[in-house]
Amino acid sequence: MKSEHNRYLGLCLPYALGKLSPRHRRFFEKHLSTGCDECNKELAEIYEAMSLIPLTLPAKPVPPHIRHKVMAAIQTGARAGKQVEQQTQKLVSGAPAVQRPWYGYAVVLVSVVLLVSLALYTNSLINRIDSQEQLLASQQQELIALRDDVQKKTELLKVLQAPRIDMVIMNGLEPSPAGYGKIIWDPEKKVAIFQVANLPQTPADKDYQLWVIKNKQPMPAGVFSVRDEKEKESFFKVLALDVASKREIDAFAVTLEPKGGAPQPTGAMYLIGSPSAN
Amino acid sequence: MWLVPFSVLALWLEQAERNKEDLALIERVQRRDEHALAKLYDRYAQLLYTLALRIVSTSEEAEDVLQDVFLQIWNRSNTYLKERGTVYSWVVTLTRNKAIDRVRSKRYKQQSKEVKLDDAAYVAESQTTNPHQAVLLREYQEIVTAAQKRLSNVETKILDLSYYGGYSQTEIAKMLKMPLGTVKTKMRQAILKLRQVVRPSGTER
Repeated sequence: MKSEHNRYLGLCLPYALGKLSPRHRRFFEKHLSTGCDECNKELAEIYEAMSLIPLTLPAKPVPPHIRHKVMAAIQTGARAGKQVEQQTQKLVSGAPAVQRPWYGYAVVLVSVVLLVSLALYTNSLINRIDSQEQLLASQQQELIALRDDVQKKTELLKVLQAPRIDMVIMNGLEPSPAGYGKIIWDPEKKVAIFQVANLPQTPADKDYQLWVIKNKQPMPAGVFSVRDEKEKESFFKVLALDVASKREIDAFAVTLEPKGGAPQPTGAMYLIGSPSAN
Repeated sequence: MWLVPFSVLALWLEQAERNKEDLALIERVQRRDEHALAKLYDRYAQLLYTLALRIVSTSEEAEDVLQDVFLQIWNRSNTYLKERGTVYSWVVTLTRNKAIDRVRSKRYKQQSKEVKLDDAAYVAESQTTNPHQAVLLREYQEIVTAAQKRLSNVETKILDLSYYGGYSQTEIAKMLKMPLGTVKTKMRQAILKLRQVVRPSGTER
């Protein structure tokens, strides 16, 4: 229950930065609407912290005409609203102080109808613009995700097109026996792709870390996380794989480490694979 | 035990008083009081314009952003939720989001343009503040600047790219050639350090 809630807390920062996918944003807003005190408080504190950032910018003078434009815009809107209100009141009370000809009332009535229609039309335009803006933002998010995906697949293709590739299979250990990993590796260019599947979701304060074990010494080779079902099978570029032959490597391993990774392995081992066993 | 310096405590109290005044102003705006909006404008326009200009880069666009923000405050003040923070953080967030939306749509229109880290628009500006500027909360700036100095260069860069550039953590990881996990950790650490200005570390959950 607590870890489920930590997941919501972990969404506060990307939400405040406007960086959640539309699906995650709806999911998180649904949770916020339940009145969760902890998440609302966390979010408020993140907003407060972020709102301090611009305080250190050297101040720029605001052109004075903007104030005038803003106030004129709201006064125009407010005057139109007041006119509608006054005209409506007069019509409702039905007791004008001065006797007016019938066409006077007709003009007033037409004006009221026009003003109300204009207000309704403006409102519907604002709503349409809002929904178009939301649609655009969500499409932009999806485009970014697709670009990421294409980038990853391009990296994979680059490795697979090498004249010679090595592969090391990694098997799941006790915390996740169904886990599975594969290092696909171009020894000439010293680049590798790590494919991983069936690892459990990463707790909010942790990351998985890949290790290259060489001369019995573990060397960090990148961190990654599994945040949702979509990421249950994914692949990552291996950083720092500066070896030309798989004979130089004792093993590859994946452990669960504090967020951002650790210089040496400290957590439980989830995957292990040795070139000699392949 | 965490002891709050007296000067900081005094500023927090002053800030709390200001928040109360802001809240009263926004309630008056909700009742269509133009003077209340004018007062909010006089309080925050310079800071919000500075922020918008930092993000969008041209004064014309920054002016549009500022105007949009105040019209939104006037027309949709009921979207302000007290439980999500102060009026000040709400107006800053509105401005940042509107400016970022503009930059994003422009960026998508010029897809071919690669953004480099040394691109002038994205390089962190000098952290110095002008002591004569008439921005509200200027006493607070010293404390915030001190808090920002506690950030490492990488944390500052990540915070700048994310807050002013509107880049996702994945995009930042690629730009800085860092693992995504490291970017997420550094971003979180930077926000935590700033949060200590808002709330002393002794009261962390």
